[in-house]
Amino acid sequence: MSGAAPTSAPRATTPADRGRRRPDPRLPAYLVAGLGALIVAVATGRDEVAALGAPFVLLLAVGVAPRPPVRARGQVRVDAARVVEGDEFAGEVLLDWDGEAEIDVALAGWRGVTPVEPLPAPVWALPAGRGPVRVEFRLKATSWGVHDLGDVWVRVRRPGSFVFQEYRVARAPTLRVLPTALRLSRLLHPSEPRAIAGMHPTRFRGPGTDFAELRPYQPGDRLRDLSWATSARLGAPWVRVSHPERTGTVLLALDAVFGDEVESMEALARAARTAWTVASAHLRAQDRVGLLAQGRTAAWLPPRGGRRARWMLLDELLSVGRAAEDTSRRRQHRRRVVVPSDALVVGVSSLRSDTFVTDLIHYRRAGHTTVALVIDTTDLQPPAAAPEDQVAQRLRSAQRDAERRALEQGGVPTAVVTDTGDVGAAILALRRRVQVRRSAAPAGVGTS
Amino acid sequence: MFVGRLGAWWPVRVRTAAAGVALAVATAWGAVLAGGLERPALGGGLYVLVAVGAALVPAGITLQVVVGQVMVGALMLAPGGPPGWVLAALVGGVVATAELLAAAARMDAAAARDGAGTTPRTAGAAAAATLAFALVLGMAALPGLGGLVGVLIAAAACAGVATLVAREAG
Repeated sequence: MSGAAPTSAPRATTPADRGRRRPDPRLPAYLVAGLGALIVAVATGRDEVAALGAPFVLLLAVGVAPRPPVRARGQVRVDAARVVEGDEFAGEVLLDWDGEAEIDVALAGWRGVTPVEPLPAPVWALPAGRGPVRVEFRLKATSWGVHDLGDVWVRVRRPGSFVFQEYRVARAPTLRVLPTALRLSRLLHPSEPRAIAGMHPTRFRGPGTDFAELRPYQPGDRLRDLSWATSARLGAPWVRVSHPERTGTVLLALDAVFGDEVESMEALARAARTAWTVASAHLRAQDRVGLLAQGRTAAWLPPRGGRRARWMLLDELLSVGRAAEDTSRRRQHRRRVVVPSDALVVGVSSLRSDTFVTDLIHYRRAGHTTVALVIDTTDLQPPAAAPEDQVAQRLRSAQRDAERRALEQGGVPTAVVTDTGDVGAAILALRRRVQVRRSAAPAGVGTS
Repeated sequence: MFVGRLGAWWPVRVRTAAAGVALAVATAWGAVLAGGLERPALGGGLYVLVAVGAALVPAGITLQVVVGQVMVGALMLAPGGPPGWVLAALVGGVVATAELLAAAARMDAAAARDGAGTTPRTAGAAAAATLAFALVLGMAALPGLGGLVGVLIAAAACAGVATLVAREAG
């Protein structure tokens, strides 16, 4: 499994990028020895003691003589955007710098992966020379989720210099790691299919088994659709019209803004379980289920569900989470996708994204039945140690409540999915509310 | 991210550090043989001990250089000390040891650094140090004001050489 080969993107310079300077251990040694001997020579009035300091002063002067700083530039490429747990993937670091320099390169800060080559860590000590240089590495994905592949740091110095510069030259791209088939089955097991299965027979008609109506025969109708009994009774050919096998279109609007911490992975798993419960139930009901993320219809799940559908769903969730955290992508113009007119839009969100609520309300105003399942992650937050943390948690909670109220006021029913409450209960609650709205709606307004 | 660890003791680093310690032993042995130390075994042993410590902890190179310098200074100032060329060789030994230990310290990355070039660099630094010491010591041997002027001229010459070398390297 792979994807478009990601490359680290240019970004703004941070203090860490500017790095720091470190002295060679000889610098303090020669400084103390050289100056110390000269001071002793002056203090004691013995010329020969100055001779003991002269060699060190000489070497010190050579070592600290001003040299132009090494300006290194780097880029990281990996050959996969997403992999499955346990997969190995390759990558390369491209480095260039001006003039001759001695460079150590390290890919540091990676998470969710382990180095395969080079071992014990992706670190390279390059001999003194000139750029550009390309070094290759292989990593192995060890845990599912969205993982940073770390930063590329260099330790550089001009030949003979007593001063090193250490700074970051590139940030590696992120990697989406999907769980193995076994873990996927444990993570996203089918559940609560009765909650919403068959809740919305569509107004469209077509080939199928569920009877919809009888109507007079028209040229082009299949002979097998003739209702012989009705035709004989009425004396003219009549045909049976059925509901199509695919009864509706459901679009899962995914929004998963989580970090890389263990708690966040559990939150992500919770969002995935919720989304999968909705998706599997609708797939069972012969619905067409699509994933709506980042303003586009990302994918249509295979009608039979199965492992591929679960992987697709997880992949999209991971992708959404990463895109929301990536500040460089926020500058891109967001466009809302035009969803099919009969689509039921189900939002699955932790309500941390700044655009999700407005998107859902937009779909509701466009006439689609829109509901939202809010993933409650309060129990996953670490206990607040400081008063500031408690305030921050209360603020987050208040913000979530405000966004939920905004959804409700915008006509989007919401239900909270907690750790203890099962997803089915939340879906059932939403179903009741949607049915109430439908029964209250004026005749002729149909939704799927 | 570049901090050394036990796994970073690559063979080339071990060899370089061992060479530095061996050179320190040879220098200490030379100082003991040259005589002049009040407690030869103590002086030599202390220098070797400090050199071993500097091989493990790079910050100890400062102590190694200072102890070596004091050792050579004690020989130089002792009545009936060794001739100047012996002292120059000992200074070269102290500098070469420091260069080797510093080279070993630079190999702390979790990747093996090519050790090529370490020997010529060390030899060059030791030779420069020996020459500078001999030059200034020779000038200081001049009696009276001549010695002082000689030391100043020699020190200026060393600074000039250092500038030239640095410009060449830059």
